Amino acid sequence: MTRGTIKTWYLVHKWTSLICTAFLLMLCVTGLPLIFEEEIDGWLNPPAPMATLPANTPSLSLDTILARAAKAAPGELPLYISFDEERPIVYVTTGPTADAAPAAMHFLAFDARTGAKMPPYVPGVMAFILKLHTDMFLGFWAEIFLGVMGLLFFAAIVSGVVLYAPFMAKLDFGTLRRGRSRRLGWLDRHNLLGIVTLVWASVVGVTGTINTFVVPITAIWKSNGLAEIIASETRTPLGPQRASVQAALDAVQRKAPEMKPQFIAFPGVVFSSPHHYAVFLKGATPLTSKLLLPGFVDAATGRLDAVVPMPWYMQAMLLAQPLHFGNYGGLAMKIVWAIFDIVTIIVLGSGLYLWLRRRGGPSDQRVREVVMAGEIA
Amino acid sequence: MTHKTNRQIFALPILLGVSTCAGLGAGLIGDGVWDVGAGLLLALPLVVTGRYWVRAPITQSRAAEAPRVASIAH
Repeated sequence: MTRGTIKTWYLVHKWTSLICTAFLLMLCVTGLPLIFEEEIDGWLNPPAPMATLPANTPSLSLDTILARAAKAAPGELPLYISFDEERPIVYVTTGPTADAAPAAMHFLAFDARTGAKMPPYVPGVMAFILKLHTDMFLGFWAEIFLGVMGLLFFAAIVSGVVLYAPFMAKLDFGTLRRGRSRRLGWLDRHNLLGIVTLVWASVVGVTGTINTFVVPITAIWKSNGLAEIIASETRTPLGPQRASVQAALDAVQRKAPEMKPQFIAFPGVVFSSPHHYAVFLKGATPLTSKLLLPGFVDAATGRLDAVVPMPWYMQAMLLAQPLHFGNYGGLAMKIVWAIFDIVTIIVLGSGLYLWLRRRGGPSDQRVREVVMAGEIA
Repeated sequence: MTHKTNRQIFALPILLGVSTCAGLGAGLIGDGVWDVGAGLLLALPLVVTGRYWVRAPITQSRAAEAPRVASIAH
């Protein structure tokens, strides 16, 4: 590698890192408690007790549940129905309009077997941290901005790996020169921790960026894939009389009997069309449970219009979520995730320290530092 | 001391990277034994790092002198 090449990569590493470090530190620090969101939420907000009924007690029709929801939130529209993964609980999200902002929505919970209303979901401290982590309470463009910071972070990782080669040319893996200058010690630690977290940090960084593009990616899917289904014919405007939601779910489930319902989107919301109940089924294994199969049922007539697998970019987006959250491999994986997260914080912090305590002089001096493994007299 | 080849420099990092990838994938494939495997594969890079992080300073200082001596000898 020529000195010119090293200098270019050094400048890429320096600038991509400098721009993204403050935001990445925020993301790593807020991300740490979010790894254990389920545990912390369960501890702060213990799940409400449910009536003890025989295990094979049938669930009520979703239409009955919806009628209960209409009483509980008068004047509001149902927007989503979703299903608890562990307990027989049905969640109904309602809002004043189909395009209501999440803050204006109401989240109701019902015992699926008795229709009894469960205590409402109260957004707690974890919801606050999640919002901070996602968009710093600044909305859509802030979320996209953090996605771009994720891409810069990835560029910083790649350029760091390129610089690792000339730096380590005369050093053994894992060399930590102790008892020398403090800066040299941290240079070695930055290199060791950076190279071992490389794959994890890349995966979590890139999947995090993908997660910030959920809204635009879903919009592409709606304008391409869904357009055919939506515009296939002129439809009668939706009146107050709607087809049965339970029948819609049953119709879609007959097409894929081995799958389970994940959620149902009502006409007009982000995940549906203006005319359809969109029923999303999920598979039974950890992998296929992330890959959703949507079926579209005309909400006026109850006719099943289509069951179409999602395009590759939607599948990739759905698969990116568990890989970012680290919530698909039990507690052991969460602990590993937390340690990787802390190590990444050390890499970011040491990188900042190394830049702040750099010696003066032109950037050629930094190139010398790389090729001499920090041993500049 | 001679220059290491890229293969020598990146052998261990690539091994740890492959272990990380395999761990990330194993967790997605299944539960139970797959999750245990995922945890172990993901923990490997961290365990190796811990081993180098706490290595006795005595062997460290000897290893650290080598490049400096070499650069004088050139």
